[in-house]
Amino acid sequence: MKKLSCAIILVSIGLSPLSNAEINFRGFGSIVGGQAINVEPDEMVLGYSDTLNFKQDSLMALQMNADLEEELTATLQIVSRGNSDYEPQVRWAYLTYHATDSLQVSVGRTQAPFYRYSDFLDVRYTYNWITAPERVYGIDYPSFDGISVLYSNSVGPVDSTFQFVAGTVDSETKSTTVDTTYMVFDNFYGINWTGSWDFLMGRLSYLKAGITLESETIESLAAGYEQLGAGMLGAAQGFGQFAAAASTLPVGQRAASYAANYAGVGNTYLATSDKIRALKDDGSYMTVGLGVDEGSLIIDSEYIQYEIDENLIQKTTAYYLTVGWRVGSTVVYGTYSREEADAPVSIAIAPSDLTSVAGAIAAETLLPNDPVTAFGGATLQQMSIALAQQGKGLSDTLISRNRDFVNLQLGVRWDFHPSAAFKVSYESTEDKVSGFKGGVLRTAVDLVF
Amino acid sequence: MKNILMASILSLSLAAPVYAEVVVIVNPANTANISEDDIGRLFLGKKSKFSDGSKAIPIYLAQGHAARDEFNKKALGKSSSQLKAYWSKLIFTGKGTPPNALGSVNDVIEKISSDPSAIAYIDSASVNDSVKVVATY
Repeated sequence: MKKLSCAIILVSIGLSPLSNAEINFRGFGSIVGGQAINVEPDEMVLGYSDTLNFKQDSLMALQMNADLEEELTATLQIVSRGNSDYEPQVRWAYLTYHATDSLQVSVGRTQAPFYRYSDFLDVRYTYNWITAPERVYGIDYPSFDGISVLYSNSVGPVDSTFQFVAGTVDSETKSTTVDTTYMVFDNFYGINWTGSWDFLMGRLSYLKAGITLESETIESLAAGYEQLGAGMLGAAQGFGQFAAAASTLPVGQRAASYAANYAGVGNTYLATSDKIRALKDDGSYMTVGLGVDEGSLIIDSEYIQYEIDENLIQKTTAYYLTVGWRVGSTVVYGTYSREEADAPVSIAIAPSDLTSVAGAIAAETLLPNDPVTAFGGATLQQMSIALAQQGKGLSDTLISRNRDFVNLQLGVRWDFHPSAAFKVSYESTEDKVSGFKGGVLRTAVDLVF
Repeated sequence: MKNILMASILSLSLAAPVYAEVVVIVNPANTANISEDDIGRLFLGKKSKFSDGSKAIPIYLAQGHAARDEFNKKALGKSSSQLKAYWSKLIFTGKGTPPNALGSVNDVIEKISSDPSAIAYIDSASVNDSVKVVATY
């Protein structure tokens, strides 16, 4: 009986309109096939290997819009991506209040203005590339949850839109430049201006956040620093005990100084491992964009720069320049993009180099030479020298780990159907640091419906 | 691949057909000043009011009408797929929805003659006394 009345209530709710909401369904999608060219069987270029792949960049999306009258709308957008096995993901879920013609306030899940194309990055029908330039758009920022205020005005011939955002980003992100990372932006806020004047477009954005990052790279490096630090403190303890026992001998006095050296440097390693683990570190992000679309000639460019204080991720700059030509329903374009990042020097050199101390230790003949269980059976002398070498090796690796990638893309877009575009592109990538080169040939059909 | 390239080259080389003029029409009771700049903004959703502050409701012609392509090109400076891309950017970011499109010129004339806030475009040959022409392209 209870069930039945419930069912009746549900049916009657379904029949009587709760509000005069007008509900619209729309969607978009891209089917992309691609293959890496001139690579070894185990090498990947932009997510593609040397076998044909239709999943990496394909996606389908559905959007529901409810117009609730009184200037209120609700929107839900669900995107299924091939590289996540088409598992549906809510990219947008928000309410918008159109306060006036020029002011609207949205709350809920939207996209933050990291890039010029952030808002419609998945709606690839709206741009000419198959996917936006990799070197700038390498990090696929997760949706942001919070408030977004949009204000538009016109001064003479210039139409401007100002966007203010505040909230949090809290999600896993996938990128081809870093391994899958768990990313949290606390106290996230930013401002974005987009202006258009006839065929010119300009854009400025500035965003700030407290950044927490987790990834295998970060964790393994931090764990390495912790092990080195703990090992050095162990060695310091060994030298200290020996120094106490042999305090009257010159070797005992030298051991006391080794103990002080290893304790100091060991503590720096432990402190630096905290820096490597990004925990609410101050991050800032700025971007500038310029575009020209005067009918035939198309120019598009963006420059981004971001930095996280005292972190493994150092100042990174990236930019692209696209020049295209439109004839009828066809666009031919070329894109140059580059991404450069400094090596994490502050982290690499934070702990002092123990090489010269280890050299002095190596020359000692009177140190205890019994194997120590805590050192894996090595003697204090062997262990302290090995730790110094490992520390030096790690610093040298990190200090040389700057990034410099250049991508070149040539492509064609053809609007073969009123709601669909066919695209072909070849993109090459070069890692200027390691010397790796590769290319990807892709074709795509993008649609809106 | 070769076939597709050939097809796109062929589609480029086809000469553009000759169109009649397109006119922008409003209700005869609408006395607002309407410039070409206003028309561009109204039909791209950048403005929703006439110069006198009254509400404006732009109406498109449905896809397939020659006057639509002509208007898009001359008044809005966009091909039909560029216009589609333009509206897609707004639709999928919640920033706007495109005007309603009516299927026939008669429907458009009927709407304009009955609604003082409506504004639309048709081919110049279809104009009659029930509407007022404010611009010709």
